Amino acid sequence: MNTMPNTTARPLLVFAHRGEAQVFLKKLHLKSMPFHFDGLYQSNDAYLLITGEGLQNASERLSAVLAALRESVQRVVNLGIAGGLDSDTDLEKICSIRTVYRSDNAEMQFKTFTTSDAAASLDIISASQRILRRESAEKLKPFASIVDREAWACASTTDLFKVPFYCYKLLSDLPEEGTVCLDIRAQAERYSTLLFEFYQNVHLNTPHAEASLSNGLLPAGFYASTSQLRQLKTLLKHLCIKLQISEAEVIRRANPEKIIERESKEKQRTSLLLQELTDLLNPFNARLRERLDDLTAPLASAGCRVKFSRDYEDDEVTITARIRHPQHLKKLQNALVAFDYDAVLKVLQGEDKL
Amino acid sequence: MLFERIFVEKQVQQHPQTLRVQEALPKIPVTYIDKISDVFEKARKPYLQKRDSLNLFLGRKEGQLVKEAPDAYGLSGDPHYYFIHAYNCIYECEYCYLQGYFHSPDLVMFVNHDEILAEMKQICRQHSPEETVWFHAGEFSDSLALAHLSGELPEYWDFFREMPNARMELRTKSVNIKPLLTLGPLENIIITFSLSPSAAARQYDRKTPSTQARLNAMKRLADAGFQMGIHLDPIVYDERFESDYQQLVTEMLQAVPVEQVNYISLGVVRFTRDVFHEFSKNYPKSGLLAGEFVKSFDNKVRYNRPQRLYLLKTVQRMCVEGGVAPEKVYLCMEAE
Repeated sequence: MNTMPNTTARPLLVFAHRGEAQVFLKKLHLKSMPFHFDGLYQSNDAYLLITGEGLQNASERLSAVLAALRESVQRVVNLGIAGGLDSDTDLEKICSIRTVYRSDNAEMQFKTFTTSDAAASLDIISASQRILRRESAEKLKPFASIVDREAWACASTTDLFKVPFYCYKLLSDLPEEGTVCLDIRAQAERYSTLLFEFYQNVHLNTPHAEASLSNGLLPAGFYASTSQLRQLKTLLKHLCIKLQISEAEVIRRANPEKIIERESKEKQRTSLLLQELTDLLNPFNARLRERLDDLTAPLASAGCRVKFSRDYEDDEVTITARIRHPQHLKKLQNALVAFDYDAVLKVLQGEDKL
Repeated sequence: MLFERIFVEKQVQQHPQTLRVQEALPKIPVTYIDKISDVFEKARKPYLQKRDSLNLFLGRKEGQLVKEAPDAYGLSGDPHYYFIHAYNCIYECEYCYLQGYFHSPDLVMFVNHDEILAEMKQICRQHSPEETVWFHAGEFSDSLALAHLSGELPEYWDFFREMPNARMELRTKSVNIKPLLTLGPLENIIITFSLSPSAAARQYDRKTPSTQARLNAMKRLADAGFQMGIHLDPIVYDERFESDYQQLVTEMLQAVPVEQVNYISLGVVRFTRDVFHEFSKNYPKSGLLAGEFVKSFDNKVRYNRPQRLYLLKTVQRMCVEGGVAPEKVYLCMEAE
């Protein structure tokens, strides 16, 4: 059995029934893929999974597939037929789903998921049982206008694996409309064709995931650890918002050439770069730190360590000094005389115009 | 249309407020339910769905209707309470704590104002007649934005006319002042506006009236003799902070004469951890995210203390220099 992913990321299309998927299987030239169970297909452009009906089937099978193929799955797209809950439902319309609710034995579950389609405006409830009677539909109507059996499980699983999730449903019937499974099955090929045409249109217009930041943005001569990279990513994101410029331009504003001149170690340079970016993000705190450094300079020059409370949440200053010689004591005494705690208090209490 | 659907509790189906709202919104479909909690917050509804599928619930508030306010809520020394007449808001301020408070953005209006007023009366009796007892509206919803629709204000006017030792604060960002002008001013009802500099309001106070429109509404109310209050909250730091706030303080004191300003509360932008999480998710490109926040003494996400105090003291000084008595300017939710 070969479950090694192909290197190119592609969408994973998820259906409950083979009938709904039949046109996709043909048109996308999908071939059965050896896996722990039947129902997984692949081509160069897509994976396709048939889960079987219901929340549990969808959850189990999609979890297994994503566990094996996560790195090569660009997004999960759940397609299929669903029922309308409103009598004015536009049958055979295909909807992009916004929020996915779940109902177990007519009891609404609290947890919901929202798809990645920001333009979607219809919600769906995945029910643990088929909704065949009008009374059951009435109980669900306050929450959504469409009902299916799998979307919530797909949404929940993709959320767990942090994969973008899309959901498109063709409205095939209404409760109490007298539709039986056999009628739906008879329409399966037509429904599958409609879904395929819709999908092709949407698929071509869905943007690919944003390129993620990599070490590549760091100028030559810098090295970042994983935590530094994470911090860099956050800082760059916020600075791009604040300054309305590109990440590369933000880095340029931190003057990396000057940092290279000042520091020889690559990782230390990254620390300095992060500090520059932090100061750029919050000039108030940069000035605050600078002012406190100035005010504690006499203590620092006497060899004392000066520490403020965390985030300056109180007025405490901890001064640590080591005395090994009478001269050290003399120096410390002079430094303490020169140290202006009142001025520090003014800064800490927001009274110094920084 | 403002609302997609109205859900009405069967027990208030014939309540005058219910009928008034339905009459005002005749095209919105109505569903009758046993209890608001059968639908509202039953399943998590994403906050931003308020933009295109907001529902309105009408029902009876159960449990405690009037609650003691936390410390540093209003002018110190007096007992402060807040009452709950509604949940959620039609506006969409990026920093709003409601986005992490309820599990649904849908609007809930409670119609049992008679019971709220009875509880207020009870509370007033527990205090001596010399004490000023404050009741604040607008903790979980804008007090005025939909007042023309809910129509409960006359009941409160009748109550406060008879209770001189009680004071009510109606807190708003709306300019929906017609119901107030119709009722006229009362000495013990204070109308308070939340204000930010124009640029900040444009950036963060989505779907709210502009700062200028709020100032104009304040002026009209002040001219009509209303008692006023001002919330400069949340204060957000940026490089133009001092000049923007100087301009705002000048403009607001032009709109409302100093003698009609009962109090000014100052607060710096802050979030509970849950709200900050929701806010970051809802507004990933918000300029507010560029602030250097820390987890503070009360587990809230906010600026560090020197920055907070600098912001608060600077605006406090501006207000005092503008002629507001220092004791009328208080710092909201800030331990000092």
